[in-house]
Amino acid sequence: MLTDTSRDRARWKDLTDEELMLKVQGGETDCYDVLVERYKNRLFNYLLRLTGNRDEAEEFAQEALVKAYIHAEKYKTIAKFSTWLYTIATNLVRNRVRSRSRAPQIFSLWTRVFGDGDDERVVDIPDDSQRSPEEAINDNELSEIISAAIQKIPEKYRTSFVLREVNEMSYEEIAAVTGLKLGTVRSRINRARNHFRQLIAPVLEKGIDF
Amino acid sequence: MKCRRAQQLLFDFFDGLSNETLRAELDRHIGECRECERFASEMSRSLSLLRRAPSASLDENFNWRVRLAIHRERTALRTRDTGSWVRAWNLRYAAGAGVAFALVLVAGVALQQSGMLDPGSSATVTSTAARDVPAVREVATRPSGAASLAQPSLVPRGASGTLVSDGGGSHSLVEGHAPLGAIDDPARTEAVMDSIFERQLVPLTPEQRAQLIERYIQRLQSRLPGQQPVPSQP
Repeated sequence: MLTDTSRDRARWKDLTDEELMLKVQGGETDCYDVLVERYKNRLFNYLLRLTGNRDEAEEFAQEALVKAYIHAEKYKTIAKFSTWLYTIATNLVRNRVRSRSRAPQIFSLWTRVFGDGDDERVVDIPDDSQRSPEEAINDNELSEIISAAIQKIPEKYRTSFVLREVNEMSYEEIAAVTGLKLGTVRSRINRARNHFRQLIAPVLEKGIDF
Repeated sequence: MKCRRAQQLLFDFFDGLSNETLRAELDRHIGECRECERFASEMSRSLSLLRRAPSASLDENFNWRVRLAIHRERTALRTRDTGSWVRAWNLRYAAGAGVAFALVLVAGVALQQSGMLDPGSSATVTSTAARDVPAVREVATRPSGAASLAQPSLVPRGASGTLVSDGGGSHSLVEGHAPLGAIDDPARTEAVMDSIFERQLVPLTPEQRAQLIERYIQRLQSRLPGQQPVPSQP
């Protein structure tokens, strides 16, 4: 037999994000767990691509979800909850980047694949021509290569690019999250795509076909 | 079609734009331009690589960590709110104490300026309306517009005694505080009285002054033990 809480939870899962936020605003704070469950991985992946660091991404995801809860009364249903949450997360990262003087962390694999200099295009991965692409590069390595390449994209293009290509947001939503005009968002995403293409090209040239 | 336009169209098609005419035009250009063909191939493969990259996930513990962080944040906010409330009240109390101090200071300065707290004078001011003090009431009757004897700063420094007001405009120096030797030495008493008159506290004619001095001496003498009051001269 379902308890009241279990029944509530089952019922909450059918509600939209905005309806859940209204309930949170009304004092049914347990509803927020459903939102956390819904968004934690999407938010984490966005932040992971943005920062390139798992611990940082998790920390930002937690901070963003806490902030969204603490300031729940400021949320207005005219905006999508996801847009609001991503805006909070993006601002957290942006503020951290501003306050940080050191360069973003570079993964060790980056050096292997792309070298240290910005202009280097030398692919330095071992010759894996005898192996299949799956053997040549596993999921972890692929993830690291992608992360490292995204980290090389200029920060001002990166956010829009990740929201578009990783989180599959619409241009309108990205404009709302970043506070940029639609045309600027479009142009930044295309520039970032071009950067990404140039960065990944050496991997593709190596004959590893994905 | 120029390469720049072709590459722009390519991005549009990646975003889901479907226009058959433009698509055919783009395909034709890519078929003719090796550079654009390479660009389209690299772009397509790199973006599909990105989309195929495995996504990471957070474990169940993350939800509990969020809950804990929310709890801590709310507690901290409550503490901060209480702290700010206490600080606000402390500020109000401090402001109140400051205002009170300023009022006391202003009152003190006002009193001092009015002469009531003149440390140079040994005279004190009392009111016969409140206290039953035997007094020589006729020493100085204040005519309208004349300076008041009730201002101790105007009492001659040499004339120690209690300046008494009967509340009706008359003031007097109470006996017992009369200048030492005043009774035994009428000349000295006269000198003290002169010093009062010289300050023009009471505008009197020489006759009135002499009369007043005489009456004052008589009053003082009548207060001495074993002396009978001498009736004042009209």
